[in-house]
Amino acid sequence: MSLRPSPLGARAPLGGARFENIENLVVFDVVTSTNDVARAFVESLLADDSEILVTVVSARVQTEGRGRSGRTWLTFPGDALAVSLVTPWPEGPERVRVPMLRGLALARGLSSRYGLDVRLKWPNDLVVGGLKLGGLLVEARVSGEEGYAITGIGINVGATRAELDAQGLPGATSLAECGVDPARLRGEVPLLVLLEILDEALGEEDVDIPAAFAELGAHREGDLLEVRDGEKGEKKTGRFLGVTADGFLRLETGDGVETILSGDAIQLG
Amino acid sequence: MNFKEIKELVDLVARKGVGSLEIERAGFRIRIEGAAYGPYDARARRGADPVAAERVEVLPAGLVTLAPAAAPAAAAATVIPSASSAATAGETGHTVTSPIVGTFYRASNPDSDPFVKVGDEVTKGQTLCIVEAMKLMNEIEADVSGTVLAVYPQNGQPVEFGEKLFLLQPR
Repeated sequence: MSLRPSPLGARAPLGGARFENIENLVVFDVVTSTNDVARAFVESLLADDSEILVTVVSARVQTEGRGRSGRTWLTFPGDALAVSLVTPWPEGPERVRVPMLRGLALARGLSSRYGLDVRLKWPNDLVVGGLKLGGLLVEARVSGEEGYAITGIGINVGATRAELDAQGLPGATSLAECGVDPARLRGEVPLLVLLEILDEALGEEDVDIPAAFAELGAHREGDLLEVRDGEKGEKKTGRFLGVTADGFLRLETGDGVETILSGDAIQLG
Repeated sequence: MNFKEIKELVDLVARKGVGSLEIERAGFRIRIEGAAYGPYDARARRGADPVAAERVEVLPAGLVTLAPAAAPAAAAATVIPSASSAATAGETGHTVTSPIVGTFYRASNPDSDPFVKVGDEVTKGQTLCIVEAMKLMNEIEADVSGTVLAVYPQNGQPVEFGEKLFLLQPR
């Protein structure tokens, strides 16, 4: 893919780091929601009839009570990373694969780069040893054949056990708590690593999802799972049978094999 | 033809195991299909609410179709769609379809009003619904301005890629 000049020109962040597939990068110190900023950005492009650039909006995630949002360039990522990736969304049934592709890419990329065993808990949590390291949420908008997707990603970076507990997150962990060398968690390094992972993932979308999930998923075939769908107030229990080509969960319940489209999987055994 | 008469016809189709029944009266036609309806089989296996499994089509030509999802017995729980009254003979419209497989939501959360209702005027770019799958929240917007003639799926119902969600009358 050819690189377009950044609209930011000479003010391009991270020393002007360039990527194969990421065309535009905007880095804030603190924002309320990188997804909100990303959405405002892409809507402004659409309002001008401009092409949707593959864009990353990033910011440190502030913890409660720490200052107010301000717009300055990021130099020192802190406890966590918040990144939103804007991509055009070509029409087709494969659109639904996006969350699973991103989740698997993050599990693989974080594992290899940090020497960890990061797994994807269906459908969108990144876990290490059963504790949540991060997660992703995809918001998309479609009008006719046009559309875009914003993948919001949060990764706990430097937060200590005490800090996570203080935030009411006993089930969470961080790269630091997983034993990653602190030198690799300083400054812009974690953001650059995450950008590399996403840049690679954007070039490799032809993935065998069932096979990749068998390798990188947090569930093994035969595991007893409970899947809760908060939106619908439903709960189902059954044996995990893997995921479909699109990433949907296959569960063997008392009623037979069911394909689950939505919900959160909880490991029972 | 009123609600009671349509319900009796649906019951008849279910009871007798009739494949399909089509009746034409002045101004409209109704077709009731008793056979399993393709992609909805999976939904029925997932134990979806039989009402949610009903398929109601308001075709551009004004044809109203009520198609029970799976076993003919499910047809006994037929509801008449609010959309059906909007379908009149000769009416055409613009169909909005689902861009992904997922769950259809008419509102941003269970306590909110629906984004749109039948009869509402919508403008291009206005959000019509959300289709969700695997935490992928997909907002579907109107790609034309017009009037909402029909809302096809029930709230919380699974929908297939390309399935009809709304019929709009462009202005």
